[in-house]
Amino acid sequence: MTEKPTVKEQFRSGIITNNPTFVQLLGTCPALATTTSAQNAFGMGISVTLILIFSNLFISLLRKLIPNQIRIASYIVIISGFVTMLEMAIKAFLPSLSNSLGLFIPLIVVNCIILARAEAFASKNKPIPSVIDGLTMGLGFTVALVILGSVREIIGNGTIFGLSLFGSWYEPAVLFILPPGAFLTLGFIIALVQKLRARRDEYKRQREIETRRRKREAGI
Amino acid sequence: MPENKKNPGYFLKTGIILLLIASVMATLIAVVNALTKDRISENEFSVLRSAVDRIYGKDSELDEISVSGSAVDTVYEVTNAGEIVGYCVRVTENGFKDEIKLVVLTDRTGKCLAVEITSISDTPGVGTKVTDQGYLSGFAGRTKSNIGDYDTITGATISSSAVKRAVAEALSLGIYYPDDYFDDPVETDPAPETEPIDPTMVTSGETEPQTEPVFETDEKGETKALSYIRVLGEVTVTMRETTAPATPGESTTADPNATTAPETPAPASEPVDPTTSEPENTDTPDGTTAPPETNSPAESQSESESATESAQGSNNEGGNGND
Repeated sequence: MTEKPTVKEQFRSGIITNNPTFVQLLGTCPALATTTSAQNAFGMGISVTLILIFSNLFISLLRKLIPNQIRIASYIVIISGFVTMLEMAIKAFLPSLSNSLGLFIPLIVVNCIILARAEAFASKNKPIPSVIDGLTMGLGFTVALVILGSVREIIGNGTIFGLSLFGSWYEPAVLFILPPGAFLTLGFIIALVQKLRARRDEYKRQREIETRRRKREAGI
Repeated sequence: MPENKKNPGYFLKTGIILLLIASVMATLIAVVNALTKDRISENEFSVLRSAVDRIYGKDSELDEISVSGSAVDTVYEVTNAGEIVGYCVRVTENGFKDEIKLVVLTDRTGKCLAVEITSISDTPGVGTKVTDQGYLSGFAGRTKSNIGDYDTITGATISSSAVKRAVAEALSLGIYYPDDYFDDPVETDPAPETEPIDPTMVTSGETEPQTEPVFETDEKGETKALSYIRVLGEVTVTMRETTAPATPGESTTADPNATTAPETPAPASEPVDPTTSEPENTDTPDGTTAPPETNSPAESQSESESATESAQGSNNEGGNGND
């Protein structure tokens, strides 16, 4: 890509058109494992967003110094450093979140989203756009996870963010809280997203044809 | 940046750059660690501390002790006002996803007082049902022997089995005393205080039978024994000398009521000698004297007989004792 996208375009891209989880299909492991409740999903999403912001910033600052041959190794050192700091901070100030997410906070290091954005964007752009890219991609990831977590929590537990939605008549489908439910939910959502993208592509194509036809008729 | 790999300085350069990056990150990590580590250990400890405060009281102290060969993490001895009141045991067991860490508070005999879960990563709403206070409070009062009977939560078998295993481990340490070691001896009414019996004194109003003879000294200085068998009166025994009768026949007629008087070979009955005209003058304690002799010899004889009889009777009476 040689065009430098605008901020607005970056937001739209990160959250909707190029969503890391639903479109790029990156970071599915934490997406499946930590979305047993909407609150956990939100916590995970925000953690990844913070890591994305800081790692993109540092990598963008050092992009001219890091030799090409050791760039992946350097990215990993930087990313894991920030994840370690984040883990300590969460354990200290948000112990309940630390207990819920448990092992998955350290696993952010190998979350493909972070390495992908570092490689694809931060190593080739200036620091400020890199930070914004980290922010938008992180927000897109958070939105995807919260949608996933909400669906699973509503169907599988009858609550949303801990608040009870139905009365006691509702018999929760516990399957959705368990791993098979994660796959089912993600699969259905991706199918929906693909359908919407296909329709949008179709719509765009129609518009393109229409525009060309008009131009032809205008005598160009 | 020379990318020619054959350049010998190339590897040195890449190595140094990687070293620098790693050093910078390590320094940042060390800074964050220093800022947060106290808080982290405080958080882990706060659940334990609040449980200890609730069970043993706010001013109980914890001292870590080492227990050999145990599968638990740490054991704290809980003392309150200088006395050991129980133990606080931290245990870790493998739950469904990750480890479950919990704290078991016990008394000195190995009875569980409370269980608190400090760290659990199992499925929220499913495995985390073990953190429900209704479930955890059911462990209170159990000992090593009846932990196995406690229910597991349906749908959370692995998590609740892990918790039960952990509690059982905490109660199986070798530091506990038997169940009744610390029980207070059964309280009975203290034996009524009785003063040692003073032989020279009688407690007024004492009517209970006594096993030891009690002696009383009256104002005359005479000591008498008052046994628990009541004595109805005083006994005074007087011995008298008597003479044997002349004929057995006369003695029988003259002595119809001589029964209680001790019989001596010389019968105590007065000899009746018709030939003697003089009535025998006998001594009697009553001071009864023979009637004056103003009658004929026959009469005097009968009188003497009667006197004899009366003397015998009085003698007998004397033998019997008076009321």
